[in-house]
Amino acid sequence: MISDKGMAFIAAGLAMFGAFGPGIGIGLMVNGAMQAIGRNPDAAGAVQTNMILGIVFTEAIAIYALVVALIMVFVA
Amino acid sequence: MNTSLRGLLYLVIGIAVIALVCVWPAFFLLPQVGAGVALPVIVLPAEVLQGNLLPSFFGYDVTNTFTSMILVDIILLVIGFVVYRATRVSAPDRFVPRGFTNFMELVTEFLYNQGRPLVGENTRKVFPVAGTIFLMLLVANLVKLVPGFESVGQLACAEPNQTYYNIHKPYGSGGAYFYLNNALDISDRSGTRANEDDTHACEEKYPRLTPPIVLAKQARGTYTETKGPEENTESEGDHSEEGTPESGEQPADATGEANPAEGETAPDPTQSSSINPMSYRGVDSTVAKAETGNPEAFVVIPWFRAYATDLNLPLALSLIVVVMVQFWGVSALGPSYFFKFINLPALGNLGKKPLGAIDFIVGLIEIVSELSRLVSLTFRLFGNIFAGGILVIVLSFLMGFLLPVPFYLLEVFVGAVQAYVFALLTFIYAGQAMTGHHGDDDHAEAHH
Repeated sequence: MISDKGMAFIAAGLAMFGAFGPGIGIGLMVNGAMQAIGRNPDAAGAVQTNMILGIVFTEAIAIYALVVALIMVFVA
Repeated sequence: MNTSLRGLLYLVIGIAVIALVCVWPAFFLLPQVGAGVALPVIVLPAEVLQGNLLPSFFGYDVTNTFTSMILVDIILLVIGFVVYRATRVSAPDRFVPRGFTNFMELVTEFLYNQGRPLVGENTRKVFPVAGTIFLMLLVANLVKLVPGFESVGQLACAEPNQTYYNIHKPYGSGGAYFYLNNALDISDRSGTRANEDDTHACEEKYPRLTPPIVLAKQARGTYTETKGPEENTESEGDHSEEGTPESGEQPADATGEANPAEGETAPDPTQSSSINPMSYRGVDSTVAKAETGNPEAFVVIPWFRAYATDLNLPLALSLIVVVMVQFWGVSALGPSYFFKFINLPALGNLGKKPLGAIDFIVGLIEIVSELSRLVSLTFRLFGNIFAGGILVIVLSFLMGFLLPVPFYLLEVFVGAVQAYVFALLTFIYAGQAMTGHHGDDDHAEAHH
């Protein structure tokens, strides 16, 4: 009923549900960083560096979901 | 009027402006001149430009990321040479650099100061690798934003499942461009995906426009021929083949943000004076739909493509980083570095500390963690750059006026950040490997 290509596109859309988790995770992380900077503005540099680091790690998970979606669209 | 009423007025005006600027030109105004909203051609692997460069020796295909690599390397070598001359040769007694050398010192010092707290006294070992990766990725991610990248290239027949376009050549002009009748034109098949019949028909009519990857595969003998049409496609009149275009001789076009139907100018494949030139579409669309394939299915293969969108580059850099981290760990800790993975001391202490068996299992899991670093480094870089490129090109095809600009700025930021993050992660992994794990409790005896 649904063609193979159509199924692949649906799969690509479903795969991007995996971007919910990192989105929430990054939000929580930046929340913590904002609170830390608010409490101790002198430590803003160190806090920001570690926040960027953490964001990069969690964003990689969203990129994994994106890669699966790209495979669905272009390879399958 | 009170504030909420004013807000409502602004909202209505905003929606009207958006409808006027975004919807009406793209879907109603521009299609009347053959330039409608179209689907871009997105290809995941790097496209081959010239296959089988040295067939008897390498059989290596020149892809459009290979040309990008050469460009990035030339830029880096020029930068390095200029800075070297400025610091060593021309003014060796000048301690304060000026101009471009000052900027490069800023960049280098920034990365060095980022890495030194992480790596400590081993910075001299780690910084060359991390700095090279940082500079190369910075240049590669910033040079892909120069107009002409991923938009100027050579004409080729569309491969199966690629979005293709017909060529329109207005009467009296010297150039041609990709033509689209309606926005998201599905009925006419131009702007939709090609199937094997289209590729076959196009290859038969314009053999010089065969996609280079097909030529390369044929030369290597790995091309699987799909079933072609039995007869030639019906075209109007008799077309002589002397007008077949040379691939790769197109003058440069405007940036990729321009009107989607303005492709690269190309010598027109066929000329037939019996057809009204303003409606010349190559092949009558009804014929193309009914019969064996549309021979006018063309696509543009860009000459340059963002270097990090070729999966080979992030994979290669990640392999280098992961292997070098093992080297640095051994150079700092000696062979006992491998006790991180195969935790023999914990196993040997099983008599005194039975729970040390858990440390042994954790050590084995560390191997998986190392391999996952390989995957994460690769796909973080690849996904960010490739997805950013797709975002910009899809927005450019949707509405090429003003809409892609903030996403272009986002691309500048993301490109620089991904380069920085790759280098920073190199430092972090090296630092973790060189300080080692001090989880065991039997360090009471001198373990320096």
